[in-house]
Amino acid sequence: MSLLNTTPSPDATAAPGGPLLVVDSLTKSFGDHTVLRGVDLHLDKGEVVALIGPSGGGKSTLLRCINQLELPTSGQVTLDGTPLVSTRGGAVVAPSAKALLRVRRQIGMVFQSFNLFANMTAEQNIVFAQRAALGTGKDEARERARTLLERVGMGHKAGSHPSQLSGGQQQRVAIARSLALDPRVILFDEPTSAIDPEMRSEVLSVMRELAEAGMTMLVSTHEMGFAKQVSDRTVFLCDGGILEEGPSRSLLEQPTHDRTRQFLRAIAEG
Amino acid sequence: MDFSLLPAALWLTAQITILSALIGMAAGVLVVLARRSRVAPLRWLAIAWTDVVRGVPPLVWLMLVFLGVGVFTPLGAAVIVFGLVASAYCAEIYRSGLEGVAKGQYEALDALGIPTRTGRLRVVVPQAAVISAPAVVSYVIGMVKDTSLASVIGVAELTFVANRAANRTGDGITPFVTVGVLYLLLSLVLALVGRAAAARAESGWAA
Repeated sequence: MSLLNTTPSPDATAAPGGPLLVVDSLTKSFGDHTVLRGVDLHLDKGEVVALIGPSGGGKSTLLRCINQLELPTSGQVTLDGTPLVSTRGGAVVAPSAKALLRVRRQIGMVFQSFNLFANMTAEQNIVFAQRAALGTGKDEARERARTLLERVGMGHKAGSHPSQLSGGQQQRVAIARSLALDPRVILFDEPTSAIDPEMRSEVLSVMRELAEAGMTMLVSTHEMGFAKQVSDRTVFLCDGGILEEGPSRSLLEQPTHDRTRQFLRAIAEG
Repeated sequence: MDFSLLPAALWLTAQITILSALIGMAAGVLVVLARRSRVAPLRWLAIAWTDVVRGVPPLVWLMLVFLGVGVFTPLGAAVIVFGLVASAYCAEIYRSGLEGVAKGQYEALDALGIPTRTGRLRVVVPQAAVISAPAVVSYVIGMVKDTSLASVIGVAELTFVANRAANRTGDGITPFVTVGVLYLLLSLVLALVGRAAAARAESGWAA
């Protein structure tokens, strides 16, 4: 049942109840185009936060700035009290390759387009990730890969290449691959948007189990059902800023902002 | 015509093709590495190499290396010239193969915290190789036919033997039809090998 390795990692020594992930005044511009204008966000350990909002509103960029697939223009991201964004004299600078690897190994990411390694089988994807990122031994990596594949219901497809799997199956393998590195938090970037509607539930139920097992998750999504039922909090990101946030049920059922209401109505009308 | 000369001639043609292809495919790796290097002069050198090598006819290179440099045997000169010309073409093929690897693959490597070199070797290069393979095979098939140019500098390969036979006997049909068929067979064999390899790769993951 549990998708998580319950042994706490040695560095899991955050002050009890303190936020695990803190995003502080994060901005991101591409040339003249500002995508994020000062985003503040925090996730407690074990919390699941849904990130909703119109396309182009900055959801993806926010996630990509957190694990520094994009270099933020200004602001800071802290994981368990450790700043992740390198700065010099208050300005954001490109981090060293080493620092980047360290950040990314602690933050899992699940992509809209799955991004499984096309030249490897499902199992090889997970074994390779562990061996290359963590230096895990071959046998241990293989055993963990098998266990994780079983848990996401993909044990029977361990030897299949991504091209032989459906979108939902690929995404479940991608989630297993991300879990294999024991991340502190997992970022999901519209994990079901590229999947046929009938296949989405298999991915969503894996995510629900993860949430129940206590994984800290930040999920950009258009699945309002998932946001309402699984996430503790929902954040509405629009035009590069957080317009509204609160407990998922109340925000989704009784939004205070007109813009949020308009967005939710548009989604409901499909 | 004296058909007993054909096996040796065919072997020479095959030798030039195989050795040049191996040199070209290996040197092409060096050229594409230089082309993508962070060191600007290396990049310029690689661009100059591909443009200059491809911009001059292979026959001119052959004359220049055999007669101009003058230290090589005819076979040696032919292998070097076709190998170096192939390196420029292969480098371009590899380059587009590398560009054909989906961006998401790089992003996944980055997001998982996999060291750049490991990711390139285990994920990017194998995929680029499969993308590049058909173009390399068709280049090598083209090269089989280019090797006939080596007859001009006296390599006793197929065209050379046919030409000599035609001059001796006054029959231009039999020798050239014969070697034409042999070239065709060589190309077909290569095409079949290439197709089989591609099918095998695609049955796995390149679909």
